[in-house]
Amino acid sequence: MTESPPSITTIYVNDAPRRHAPLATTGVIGWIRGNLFPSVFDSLLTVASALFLIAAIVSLIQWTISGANWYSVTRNLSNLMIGSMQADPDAMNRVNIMTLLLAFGVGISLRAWSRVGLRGWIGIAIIATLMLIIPALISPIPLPPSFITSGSISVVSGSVTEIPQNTMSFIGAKGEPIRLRLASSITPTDAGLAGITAFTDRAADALIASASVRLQGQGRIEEVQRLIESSTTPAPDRATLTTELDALRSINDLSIVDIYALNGPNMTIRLLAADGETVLAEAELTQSGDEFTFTLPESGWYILERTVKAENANTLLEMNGVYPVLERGITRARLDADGQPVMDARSGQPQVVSITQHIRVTDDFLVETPQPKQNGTDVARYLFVNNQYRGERPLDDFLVLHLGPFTEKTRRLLLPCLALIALGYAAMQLLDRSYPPIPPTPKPSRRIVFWMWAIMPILIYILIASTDARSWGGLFLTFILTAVGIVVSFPIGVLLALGRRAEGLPAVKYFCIGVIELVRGVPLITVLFLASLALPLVNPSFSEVPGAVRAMVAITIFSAAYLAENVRGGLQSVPSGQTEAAKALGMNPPQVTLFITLPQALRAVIPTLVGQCISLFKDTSLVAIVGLSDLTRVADTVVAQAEYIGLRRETYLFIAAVYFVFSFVMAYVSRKIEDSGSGVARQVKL
Amino acid sequence: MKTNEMQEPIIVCNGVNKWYGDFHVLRDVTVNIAQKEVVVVIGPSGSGKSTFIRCINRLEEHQEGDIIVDGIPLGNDVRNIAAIRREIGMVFQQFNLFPHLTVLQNITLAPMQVRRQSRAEAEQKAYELLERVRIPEQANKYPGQLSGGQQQRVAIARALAMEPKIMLFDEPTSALDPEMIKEVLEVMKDLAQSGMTMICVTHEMGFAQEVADRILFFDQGRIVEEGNPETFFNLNIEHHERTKAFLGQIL
Repeated sequence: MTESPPSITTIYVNDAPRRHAPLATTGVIGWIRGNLFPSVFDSLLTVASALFLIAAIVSLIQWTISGANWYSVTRNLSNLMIGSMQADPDAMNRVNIMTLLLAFGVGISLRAWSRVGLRGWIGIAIIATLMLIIPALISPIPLPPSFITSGSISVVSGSVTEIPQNTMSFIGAKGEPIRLRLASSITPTDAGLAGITAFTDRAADALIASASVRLQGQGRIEEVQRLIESSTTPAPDRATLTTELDALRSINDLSIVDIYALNGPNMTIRLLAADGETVLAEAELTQSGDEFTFTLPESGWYILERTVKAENANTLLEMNGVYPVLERGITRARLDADGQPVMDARSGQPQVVSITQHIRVTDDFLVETPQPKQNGTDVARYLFVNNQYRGERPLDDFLVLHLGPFTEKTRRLLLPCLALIALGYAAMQLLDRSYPPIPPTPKPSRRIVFWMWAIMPILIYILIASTDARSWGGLFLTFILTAVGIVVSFPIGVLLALGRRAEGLPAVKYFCIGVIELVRGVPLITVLFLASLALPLVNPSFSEVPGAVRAMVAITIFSAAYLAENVRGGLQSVPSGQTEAAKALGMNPPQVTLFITLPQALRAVIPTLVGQCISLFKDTSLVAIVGLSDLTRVADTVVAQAEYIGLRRETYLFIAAVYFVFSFVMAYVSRKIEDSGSGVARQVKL
Repeated sequence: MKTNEMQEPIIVCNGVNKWYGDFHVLRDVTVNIAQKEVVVVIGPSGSGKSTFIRCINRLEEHQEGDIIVDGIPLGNDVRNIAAIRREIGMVFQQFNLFPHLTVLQNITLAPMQVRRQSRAEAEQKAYELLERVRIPEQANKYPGQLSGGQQQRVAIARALAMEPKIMLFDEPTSALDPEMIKEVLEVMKDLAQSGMTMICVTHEMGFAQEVADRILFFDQGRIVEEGNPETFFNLNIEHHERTKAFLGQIL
């Protein structure tokens, strides 16, 4: 036995036990503490921004429900989505098929690149169920009534003077009931009048507006009176207040109901057919609550004549089943008796006719027959103007007027899309389960998703090649311009980037630098103008190329130059050791680029490339300037129509949401590709 | 030891000179390396030892002198460079595995693309090599998921997959934790014993003593001293002044 040497180190025998992290530093509480309330200043910021956010969201929702008029959106959905292609059913079908194809592709990609968790499916199921049941839930809600004014007194409200329109035309469908009623039960006083939330004609709108003003004036009178009687008010102020009180009293002396004699007189009603002569029904409404009901014998125009018996009296009529009428001009192919398009003898193109459609604002019911005439002049239709709906809209009116029609229209495409996404996902899941991959090979869905996105552009091309590029518009045009811009500019941009780095080939290198810097040195607008205006000057044959195609070329070149610089950044980020290792293995320069540098470079710049795609998607809105009707341009055209004047906020908010949703999806896809791909992301992740 | 003076040398370096700009990194380096010889290159940092072995497979260009590998002169002829690189495998300090490819793909890429082997053939060979470097279970992982020692062993397997006649090691253990150095050195020893021609730049003196047939000592761009490990590390015999100082530091 040898004696062990004396220890000069300290050996700890009692191990400190492993414990859980303190509760307050992990999980939700830890996150909240660490991220929202780490310090006094941060807590203040959190509270302030939370208050701001809540206020903003609450007022946005409030405005959406009770203030905003979404007609410009709900009545123009297909216009916003595909522009003038909506006139051609064949083109519309092709776009629909394209959308469904893309949805199926999205389903496949979801499975290949990520996992949709239970929460994801629940979310999708909720959206689908809502779309399915919302129209059914909403259908029992009655449409709001209309209020129209008859009589002989012009209604003055502020600077506006409206003459009651005693004859008006409207449209209705066969078998629909209409119900007219004297409104005097609702409007015994100004308060009842001011509380009306419904469709109105201009004169009724002015009546309601003046009632509101008068009620406000009454409130002020009471306030001034209180101030005058108060002992604390100084004498000079009391004098001014007395003057104000006199003025207020003289204005607000008579109630609006009395001024226009709304509750007294009775009236006769005549319902005429579209010819302006045939009397379909006649009725006399003499006292409050008297009703006139009638079932429309056929679809088309009707004329409603009202006569107030007493002179110097107006009458407010509450109507159900009669709604404001929108006007829309469309062009479509002229058809012969057999339903075949008539060809123009000279140009060989189908002949086109312009048609004025009249659409009821509450639904899609429309007539194409012209507005009825009496004594040779048009009978003014029940006009739709932006202040048509009067008052703070209650929730049920929002549901039945806006949410219902919107859901009904969007679900026609969105529900099949959701179904196809689920179908694609399920198919891939089945495939992956039935053929579990042997580790070195990727799962089958990965390979399918690659080929699918390679084939997808060809399928889409086949689908839409036969449609007229001049008719492309709306979101569809935006989508096509973006997709072509990305897909075509990608290889060009990569080649430019590689060319710029080709040290051994100065000619190629400087050509690439020249192209990149030239294109990057001018705004996209300029490139678009060059393609659409300058090129036809150089060679007139260019003017026969559709504008959309010329814009595509411009966008592609522009995007390629920026892409080249992004890819070059990626190439520079690949460490030189990678090239050296590849060279040391005997690979030649093309092999090194293809298998080693480029894959790593592209992975490294996925976020930048997606950023570029997103900005390209939004930049396509510039094509409006060279006369193409992309989403933004269609929105511009919509709000320029007389019917939708004042609905800018609603329309632009909607297209902003559309742009946002698509940009968000692109960003989401990029994250998924980054997570699933290898390279930089994988090193960090696992 | 298996120094074979009779054989034709597989690498001939004759008066190799190289400059970085105006800085003379390699000065008249002349050395012959025989087949199956294991040469360890040591020397202080910046002495040009890495540059020297990088010149042998043309990762660096030399400006003067001749380098002849397996009878092929190394010059600007691209075909010769390609031919020589096929003969030489290289292992780097930083491993330089391809992070976007799995271990298996790292190993099979070059055989399939350069040697035109079939996938099955290349994969079979790759599994053999992984067995040889003792990590067969890691074939389908990505480099980022492996430890440094495992990565370096994959790098060795990747180089071997091209069936090179010569292996260059450029400080293969310098970037590793002490605990992982051993596993890499074990693989290198196996390789040396299997008769591979090897040139190693390393700071592992134990490895040099045990495995090397010959030691080249570089200083300021030239070979200052060479000899077999027994004599080189023997402080009792006469050495170049620079060698003495270097050995004094490390032994």
